Amino acid sequence: MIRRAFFPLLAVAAMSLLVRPGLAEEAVYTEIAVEKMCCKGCAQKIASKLYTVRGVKEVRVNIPQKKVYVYPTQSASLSPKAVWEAVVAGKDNPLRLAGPQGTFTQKPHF
Amino acid sequence: MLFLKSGLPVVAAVLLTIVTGCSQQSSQSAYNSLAPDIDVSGYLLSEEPAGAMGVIEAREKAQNDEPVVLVARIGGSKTPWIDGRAAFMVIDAGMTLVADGTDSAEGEICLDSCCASLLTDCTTLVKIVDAKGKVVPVDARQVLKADVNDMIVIRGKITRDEEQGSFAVLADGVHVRR
Repeated sequence: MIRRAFFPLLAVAAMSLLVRPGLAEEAVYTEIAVEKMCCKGCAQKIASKLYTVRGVKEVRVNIPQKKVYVYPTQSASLSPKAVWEAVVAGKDNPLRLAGPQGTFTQKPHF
Repeated sequence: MLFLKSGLPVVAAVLLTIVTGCSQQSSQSAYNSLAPDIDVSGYLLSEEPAGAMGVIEAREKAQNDEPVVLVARIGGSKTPWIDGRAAFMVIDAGMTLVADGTDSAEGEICLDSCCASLLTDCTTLVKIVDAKGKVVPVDARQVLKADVNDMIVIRGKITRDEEQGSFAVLADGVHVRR
């Protein structure tokens, strides 16, 4: 009886995974602590520049904590230098950048 | 009784499959049925073009007929797609940033008429054109295999008319960031 009930339940579990793709694809992100970002407008300026960096899929911000999170596409490896420069182009100063390629408190060389 | 207990989840799974399958098929066929037999594979770029700028920057700086690489998110309108044609609206990706933590409403954009003037500066129409400069008569969803909110990088040139206040991008290739 238990065996009879098990397989249908397994089928339902498998189906629920099939209709909700992408949940397990949380990419490794880059976190940047910035100096000034104080409002939505500041955040949008920084985000606009970050999106011009090759391979950026999504930018998230935490304005009270002055943190910016940059998520790459599945196949991309973001250049820490390009990310750093994008924040500067967005009229802010990175204080600390931490990502898959290391932690930096000065502009990276790569 | 035993059959009812063990068979119910199977029936639920089958129904779920039918429902999701049908809904995907109907939305897909809505624009596939309009598509003529044209090879559109060349318009979808596998490599991302370099030197991208955002929509706001392009609207400020780019001149008429100037080559441009634009990065943007599909959207900026309640219905960004133009049915049956390779034309669609995009919005500056910075406007759609996602707030993390307490302030989760920051990423929401008002698409109603009350904010139309604000949207004008950060959105643009993109037309994918052929070698003769004509808009490709295939629905953009079929060309790009993309959806609203997907990030794209557009290679093309600007067309703008200061007197009429029009601004658009004539694209010869589009890369989808997946």
